Amino acid sequence: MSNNDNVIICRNVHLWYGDFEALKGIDLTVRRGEVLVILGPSGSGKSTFIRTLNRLEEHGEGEIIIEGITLTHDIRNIAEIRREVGMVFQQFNLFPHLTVLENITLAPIHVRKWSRERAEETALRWLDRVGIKDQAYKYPGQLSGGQQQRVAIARTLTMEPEILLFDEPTSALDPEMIKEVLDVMRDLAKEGYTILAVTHEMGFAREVAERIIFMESGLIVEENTPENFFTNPKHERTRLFLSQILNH
Amino acid sequence: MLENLHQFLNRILPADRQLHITPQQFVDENITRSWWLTLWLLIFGTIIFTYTRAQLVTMPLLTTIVLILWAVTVLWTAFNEATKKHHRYTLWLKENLYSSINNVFVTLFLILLIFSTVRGFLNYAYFNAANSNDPELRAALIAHNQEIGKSTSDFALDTTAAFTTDPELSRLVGDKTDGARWGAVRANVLNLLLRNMKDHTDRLWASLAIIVVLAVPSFFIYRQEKFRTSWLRTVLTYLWLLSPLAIYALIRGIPETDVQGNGLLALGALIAAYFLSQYISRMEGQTERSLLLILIWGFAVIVAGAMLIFQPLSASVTVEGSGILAPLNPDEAWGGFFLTILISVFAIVVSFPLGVALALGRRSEITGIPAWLTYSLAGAFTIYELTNSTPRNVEAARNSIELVFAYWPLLIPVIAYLFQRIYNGNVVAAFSTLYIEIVRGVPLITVLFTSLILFPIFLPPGVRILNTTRILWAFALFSAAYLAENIRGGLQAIPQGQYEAANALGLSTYHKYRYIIMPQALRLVIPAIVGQFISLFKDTSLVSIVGIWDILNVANGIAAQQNWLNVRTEPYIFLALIYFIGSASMASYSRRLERQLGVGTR
Repeated sequence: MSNNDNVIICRNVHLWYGDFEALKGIDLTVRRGEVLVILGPSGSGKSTFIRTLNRLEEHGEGEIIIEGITLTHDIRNIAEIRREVGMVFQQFNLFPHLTVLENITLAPIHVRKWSRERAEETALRWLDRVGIKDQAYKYPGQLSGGQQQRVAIARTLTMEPEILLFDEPTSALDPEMIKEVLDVMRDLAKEGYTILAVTHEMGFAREVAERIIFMESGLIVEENTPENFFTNPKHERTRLFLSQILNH
Repeated sequence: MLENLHQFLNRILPADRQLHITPQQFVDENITRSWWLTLWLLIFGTIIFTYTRAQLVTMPLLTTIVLILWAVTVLWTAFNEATKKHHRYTLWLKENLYSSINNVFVTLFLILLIFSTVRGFLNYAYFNAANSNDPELRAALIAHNQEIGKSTSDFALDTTAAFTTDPELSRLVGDKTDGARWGAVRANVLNLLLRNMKDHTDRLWASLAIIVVLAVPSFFIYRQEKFRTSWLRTVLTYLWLLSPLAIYALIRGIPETDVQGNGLLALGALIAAYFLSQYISRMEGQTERSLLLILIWGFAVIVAGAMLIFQPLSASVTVEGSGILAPLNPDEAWGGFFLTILISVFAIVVSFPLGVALALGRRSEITGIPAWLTYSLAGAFTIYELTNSTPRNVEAARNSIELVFAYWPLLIPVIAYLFQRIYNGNVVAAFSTLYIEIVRGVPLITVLFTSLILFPIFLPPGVRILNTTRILWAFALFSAAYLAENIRGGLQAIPQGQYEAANALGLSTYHKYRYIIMPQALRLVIPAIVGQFISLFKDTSLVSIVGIWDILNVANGIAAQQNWLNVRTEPYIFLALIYFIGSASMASYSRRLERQLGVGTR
């Protein structure tokens, strides 16, 4: 396997919030097209970790290389990486003053320098893919939570990123809306995107993930295939976590 | 006895209109519920009774009609309420006017008060208003004054005396003397609105024409979706941006001095800064880059500002020529409401970008000047001053206070320490905060006095800046500090997620603020900003204290005119009306803007 296929390489990544060490040395390599699910109890640093990958959090010690670009203070490196890495948030973070279509086309027009026509065409295609093309001219506040999250996914995908980060995309949704978002994510996984997802949806993890990472207090405790992870976890802490999650 | 009354009433009333409440119940619930209610009703009733009796004397007919109407409607409502069978009028009356005995009295009181006030004002403003433009009256007054040996110009002062002494005059004008003297306003309308600009109305019409010509197509082009990406819209926007220059040229004239040279230099500095910063933004290293950018833009803005501010210095001495573009001296020509509007518009337009910049500056998190650099610079400066100026000052000191002040360079390290400690060497945040807090800590009138009286002393000899120019900038810079705090409030209300989403999409800082943060932040603070602009508009009247001829100063001047000695009330009423119209239209525009932008709905 050539090095070019490792789209994300993290070496000994540390992160401090003041005196608190949130990440204590993360080593991780992600291949192109891999679907990775990150599990762990709350406060274990899983969200923090994927947010360091597009510099929403600034890591301290260590090295992060994405698509061959090293994450440094240099604004151009950060901009380049953010163009390749799309992110979907727990709280959707749509822009409430813009219509759905404007939400989606804003970044392609100003970052990718596309023409408005091209951006709108692509945006509508993605909205169609996530099944809400008819909502294009509404404002986010007029949509349901599940629809909003699908808009957020379409917004991320219209930028044509190589890597998708999902930060607990279903945690803020009503149960009946979770499925519509997970279905979209499942489709994307099949299409060959490199996906890193922080989620509590065990069904999704078991079915879609190629690799599961279990984090605890800023460290990766266990890396495993979904099959082994759920049926035969290596680590004691993992077992405890699974028993709490699955038997509630 | 009350029981008998109840039975009697129910006997004579038809079966479907029986009283559902006994008089005893009524008294218990509405009058004797508590001792203080009874006491209050007694006191209030006495006041109403006295007031009504007084009203009956001054305007018997109107008061009688009001009283009858009031009594009839109260009884009708009370009866319907007691029999629980309301007409829709009595229901309205009950809900809005007669919901309790107290409110029954309040209604009467307020109606009488409104009637007497309106009547008083109408008598003053209309029925008794002395119409000095009435040729018959004027002729009579002049004749009368000549008769008693007074010069005609005194007549305004002496009208009352004239009427009381001359029965013929009294017959002529009736009791118009204790009314308003609108003549003072009527004769001075153009002075109040334009002052000396009334001799240059052609320029004002031309300016107005520019605005109308741009406003009419804007009405269609900015509102319709099909023009959204049209070149027409771009052209129109540029024309709007250029229109202030054209209007400035019209109301100021084009001086024969080297205005083009200065303007070109200013423009050149800004363009050069733009290209340099384009080049720099491709360089390595964020800290160095932002420092260089600040230096270059700071320098460019200072150069451009100096060019534009010093531009009028020789222009101000040029004599007025003829023609629509001949130079005018603003200190002489601009005045009245025209100047008020000019100050407000200039201050609003200039302070807005300044306020945004200061708000962003105060929140900026750029990498600061490193501590070692700050401290070594501060140290070098301290040592330099201690060895150079301090010995001289110590020698020259005449008392112990001056001796202490001679050691002022010792403060430099303290300031350097505070700068590092509080702002981490962030020059932008430190400057913005300092500016905002200093300006907010100073009363506006002080700023005006300083800019008019103190500021010229600091200027190099031979450099003169127009009073009007200084006042305009004083207002703009003062307003910017308050605006900055309002906008900062809006910025703080934007959730962190909005920044994160914009960052994650790879938007540059400029695009992030331009399209995501600012539109939302500004929408949130529209009420606060418009409130500030309204108070700015009214605060412009302070310039009359420092001798600028705004509308208030012109109004004060009327009282010194021979024909209208000591006439102040009427011009002030006119002023109040003008200021009210201005403020109210701003407020209503703000409400419309809020509605259009859907504040509070999404």
